[in-house]
Amino acid sequence: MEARTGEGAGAAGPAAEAEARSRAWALLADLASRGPVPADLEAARLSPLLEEALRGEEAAAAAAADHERVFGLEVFPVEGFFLDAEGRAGGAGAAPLEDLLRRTGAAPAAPGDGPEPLATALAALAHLSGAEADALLDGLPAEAGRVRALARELLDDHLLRWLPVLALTARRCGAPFPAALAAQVEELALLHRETLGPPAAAAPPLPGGDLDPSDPETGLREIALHLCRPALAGIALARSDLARISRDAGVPRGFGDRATETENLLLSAASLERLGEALGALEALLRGAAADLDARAAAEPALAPFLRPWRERADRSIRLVLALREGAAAAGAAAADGSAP
Amino acid sequence: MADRTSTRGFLARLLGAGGARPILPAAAPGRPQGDPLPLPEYAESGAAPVPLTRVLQADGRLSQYPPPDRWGDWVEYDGKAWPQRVARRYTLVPTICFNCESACGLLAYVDRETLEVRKFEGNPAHPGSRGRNCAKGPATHNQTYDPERILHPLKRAGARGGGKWVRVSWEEALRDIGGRMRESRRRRRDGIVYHVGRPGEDHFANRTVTAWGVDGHNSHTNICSSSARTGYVLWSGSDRPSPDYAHARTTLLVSSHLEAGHYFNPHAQRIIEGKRDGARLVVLDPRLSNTASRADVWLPTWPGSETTVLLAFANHLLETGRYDRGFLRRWVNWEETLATAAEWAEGEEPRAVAAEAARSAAEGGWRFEDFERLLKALYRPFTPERAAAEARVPADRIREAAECVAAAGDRLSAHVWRAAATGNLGGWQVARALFLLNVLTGSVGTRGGTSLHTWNKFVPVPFSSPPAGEAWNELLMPLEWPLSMFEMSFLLPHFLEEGRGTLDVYFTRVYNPVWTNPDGFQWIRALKDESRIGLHVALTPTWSETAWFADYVLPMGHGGERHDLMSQETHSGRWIGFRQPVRRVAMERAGRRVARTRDANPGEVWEESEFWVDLAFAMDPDGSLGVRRWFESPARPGEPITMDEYFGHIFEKSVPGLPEAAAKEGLTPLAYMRKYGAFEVSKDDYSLHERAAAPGKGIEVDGERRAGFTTPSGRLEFMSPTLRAWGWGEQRHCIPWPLESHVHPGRIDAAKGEMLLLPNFRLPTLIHTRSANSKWLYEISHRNPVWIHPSDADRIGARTGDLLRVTTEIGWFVDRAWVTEGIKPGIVAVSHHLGRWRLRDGDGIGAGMSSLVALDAEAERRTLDVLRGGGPWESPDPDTSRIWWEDVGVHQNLTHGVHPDPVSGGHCWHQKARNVERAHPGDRLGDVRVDGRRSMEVYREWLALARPARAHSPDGTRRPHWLPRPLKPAASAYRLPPLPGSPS
Ligand code: SF4
Repeated sequence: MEARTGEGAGAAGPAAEAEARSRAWALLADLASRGPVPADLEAARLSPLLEEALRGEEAAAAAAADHERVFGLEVFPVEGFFLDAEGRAGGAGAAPLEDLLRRTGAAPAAPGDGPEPLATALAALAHLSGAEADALLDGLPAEAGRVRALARELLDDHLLRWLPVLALTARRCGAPFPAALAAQVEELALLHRETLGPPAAAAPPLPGGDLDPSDPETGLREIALHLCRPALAGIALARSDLARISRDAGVPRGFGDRATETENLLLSAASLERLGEALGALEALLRGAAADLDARAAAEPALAPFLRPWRERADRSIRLVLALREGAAAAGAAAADGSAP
Repeated sequence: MADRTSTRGFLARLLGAGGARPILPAAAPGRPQGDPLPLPEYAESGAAPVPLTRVLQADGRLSQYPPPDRWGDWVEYDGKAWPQRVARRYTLVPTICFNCESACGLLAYVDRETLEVRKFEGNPAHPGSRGRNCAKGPATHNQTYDPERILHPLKRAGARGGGKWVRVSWEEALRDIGGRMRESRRRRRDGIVYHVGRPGEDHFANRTVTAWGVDGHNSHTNICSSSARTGYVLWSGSDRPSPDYAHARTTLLVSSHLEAGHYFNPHAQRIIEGKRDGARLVVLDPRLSNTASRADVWLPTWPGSETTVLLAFANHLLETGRYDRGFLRRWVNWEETLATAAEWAEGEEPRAVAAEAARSAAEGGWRFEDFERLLKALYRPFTPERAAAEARVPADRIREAAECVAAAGDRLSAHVWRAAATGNLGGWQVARALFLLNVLTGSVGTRGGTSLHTWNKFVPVPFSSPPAGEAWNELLMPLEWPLSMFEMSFLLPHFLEEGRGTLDVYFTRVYNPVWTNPDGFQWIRALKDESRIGLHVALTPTWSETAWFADYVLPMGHGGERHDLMSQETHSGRWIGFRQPVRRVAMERAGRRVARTRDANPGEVWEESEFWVDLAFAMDPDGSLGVRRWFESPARPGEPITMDEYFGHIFEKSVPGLPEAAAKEGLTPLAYMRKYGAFEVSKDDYSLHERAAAPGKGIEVDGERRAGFTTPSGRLEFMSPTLRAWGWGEQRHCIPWPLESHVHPGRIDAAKGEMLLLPNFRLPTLIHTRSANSKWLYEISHRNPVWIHPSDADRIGARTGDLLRVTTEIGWFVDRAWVTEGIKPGIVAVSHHLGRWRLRDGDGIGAGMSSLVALDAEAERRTLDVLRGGGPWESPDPDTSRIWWEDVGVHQNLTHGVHPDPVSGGHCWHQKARNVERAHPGDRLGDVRVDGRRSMEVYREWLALARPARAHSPDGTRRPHWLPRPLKPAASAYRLPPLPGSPS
């Protein structure tokens, strides 16, 4: 098939809109996958959000470094990280997503990548938008309807369930480009979704059970793992979040993956008798994240159903931390009056 | 709802920019734009993704590996070509890492088209490392493709150490070296010496040296583990512990095992596993190592106080009755202890118990209860308060740690290897005291306890073994240290300087004594003196400071370029690993015949095993010396044995279970090992001392014959009859007891600014002399600053980054300060894994990893001046032009006097820093000065501590025959030599 050009797609109307969306999705997919590579900079600067993050001589290099850091170390733009109970790619959600991607006719992900990276979903949306534009131009409304249904499924059942949390976390990491990229992706997703019919009324619940802090089997490791699994905790705990808690509470967190750092942090807080401070800082972080979710839901009602399950999980985590704080305070008091066993 | 104006504008502009619809990221280049995206392309081998072998690691991570049935033809995208998806076809060849003694498994990804090794990853089929490696394993790739590699045999031209080399053929080198060896061997049996660093292989070289018919094995052990080995061997007959960390209830480490300990990666992963299952980790280390930071109880003990601390734990076990009476009664030489106690026990209470025990023995035999009373009386003074005062840590922490030990029951896994044992005079008592805790808790050989390495290490037998020689080399095992473990190799230059002898042919094999050993200037002087060392052959994969002073530099392979067998006591079980030349194996898989490994390796890099075979033929061309026959093919008499024959025989005849496992896959045992690289011989080998023994074998325990231990008594020797017999009969020597270290606080005058210099810690990413050609490892860590506590830094007015001058007893060095609370006040710590140097640009160690220096080892005042630190250089590898660091560390070992422990013979690494001050005007980072006169004086001061065999041997021999040596000569060679001048 010959490639469609901008001109050929027409200057206005639904086909042109779909064509433009296709190009934007393709660009954003490339940026998500490779970071701000020189080949994409000119096009990326057409987005005011991205342009601001790429302004200045050294900005592109700094943005590339931030992209690597934030999406390689801090928060992982992969569906399973957010929606799987163990925070892992390749979990129960991967197969339905792979099936959906196959139905779209877009490229299956490379072996080893799995279907879950953000860039794969964005590339699929680019493909679907392009197919929609082609179908409209070719006068094939049924085909246009079919690809639109697929796009809605991809957005409602997958991307929108976790994209807002990715965007909030990227913002918390304090690096302009990753935050702007995530925000731009979210904006386009919402715009795209508006073209696909009435907004979703509800989102499926997040997987995974609760953690009982009074269970003798619940140790610091279990608590750390719980907190580091976004679907359970209601927050994607980034390394910079841990660094902030560590700094605020004045306790070291050591080295390792996020769960190990969290465990280290709690362990050293306990042995330095600063558990109260560490849990306090954690609680503040969770409350801040919960407030962010509320603010987003208020500003973007279309996101509210998708944010609700996260908000519930964040509340649950706050309760968990409060219970731990109470436990720590009681143990401290018992030690002080000599009644500890 | 937001109006999305900004995004709508973005879309309009994007569309307005025109052009074709872009190619989506996953599309392959060259596809027509806009086509439905293609399926990803695989290389020719097929399209279906392969389900990977998934291993859920105990720490929660998920690892994935290519399944072994696909190793012959594996396709994956080239990570370096990313974001392009370039598929590459590999053949995956297992081998064994050569970068430390752990012997982890590696999997080499050999490109099927180019036969280049693209990367090394972990081998999931290896029972010790289980697919995991430390940073140094994959860095084998850097070493393989190091642009400064020695690719051809080199021979010195001009003066030794002058840095002029000519390329020679292997044949020429073999002819010359073999001829010199023949000449020496005809005249004497102590003229050829093979000096090995970490062997990294289990028997081939030892068999070779034995076949030469000389006493010529010299190991690096006495700058490493002599003292720990001494402690363990005197207890059990086995010189290394093998803790079962994964199942421990408490792990007690006198070291930094998780980051750099012995069997680093295999042990670290099992310690973490144990911790995950609830084990407590107790660490004694004056430095906040990564291990200490992961400990449940960290005791930053003052160096030399460790034995006291451990005995305080013992006292806690005894006082609270939480020791294993049954185990002690069955397995400890308590009767012998009681029978001799009156002769060595000191102090009123122990002496009274000893006397009473003797009285009751006269009436009805020795009573175990008296032994218990004696133990309690002996160790009662070791209170937490005393330990706390000596160690300078709070008494509560000692109590907490003691409680962890007591709570372990018979699941106490404990280990010391270097650390305090090699740091201190009398450090061998650290190992004695540590193992006492295993003995008291009955955690010897138990699940979660501590076994002996001989139970967990598998050593196969080759097709034939040459007999032990009749020779004794006084330069290796002099009379002054009859109990040393093992050869006094670090004193070789001092012995030569004293005129004790000469060497005809001296091999250094992957060993760099000039740089690694203390008092390196003395080594330079010895190596330069051709009248003392006739021929120096350096067998080495990399340039080193020592190779510079060689006559031949012979390039030997790295981990993927040689055949070796390896096994280590990584856990409770036994395995054998097969190191392979991976390109050779890949070529052979592709149907190409390779006669010698050097034909497949880069340049003319060879492997030792084949080299030793050819050298035997060069040394003994007509077989008249009786050397050659040990290297002839059993199938083709008179011809050199091939590696396939040699190792094939071992795998077929000497590895239980391997032939059966191979047959199940339709493979020969050799083909099985070439495919998997490792084989698990046995699992869960616990309590092997309890095995039933045949009549006349083992020892009798409670009326039954049991295998027991390999000590003279067959039991665990709490009181060491060997020490008593050989002149070390005092209580402080013959039972676990603290000895005063040479860096005891009483010997360091803090008021005068004296401090303790702690040099003996590793960085986890470096390995002594082997890692300087790895750009990845050097980028991670390249400097060794002086750790100094803020209170000490304030006292001398130093801040992080300032240059300090550290003065030792024989010289001084200049290094940068790193102010940190991670070290105790009063101590400065400098890792001795850095500070490489070269004498000329363009030759020797890479310019990014070494300083260019000017050296003067001749004058009494010996000097090393840094002319330039590390920096970028031009080479075929573009990364060498990107070196961004200059500080490549300081070679502090030059300023260390030699400290041979009088019992173990091990070098006691800790140094008294006479002064630590801000650098003087003109001092440059890395500068070193050494007083040559003081160097020999310090040697003599320590020599005077020894108790020589001539004065103390109980039986006219040089050394207790039961004590191990890497190569034991025939029993007749143990006889003390006649006194000079006496009739022989
Ligand atoms: S621990 Fe030793 S053998 Fe294992 S990968 Fe690291 S360097 Fe190699």
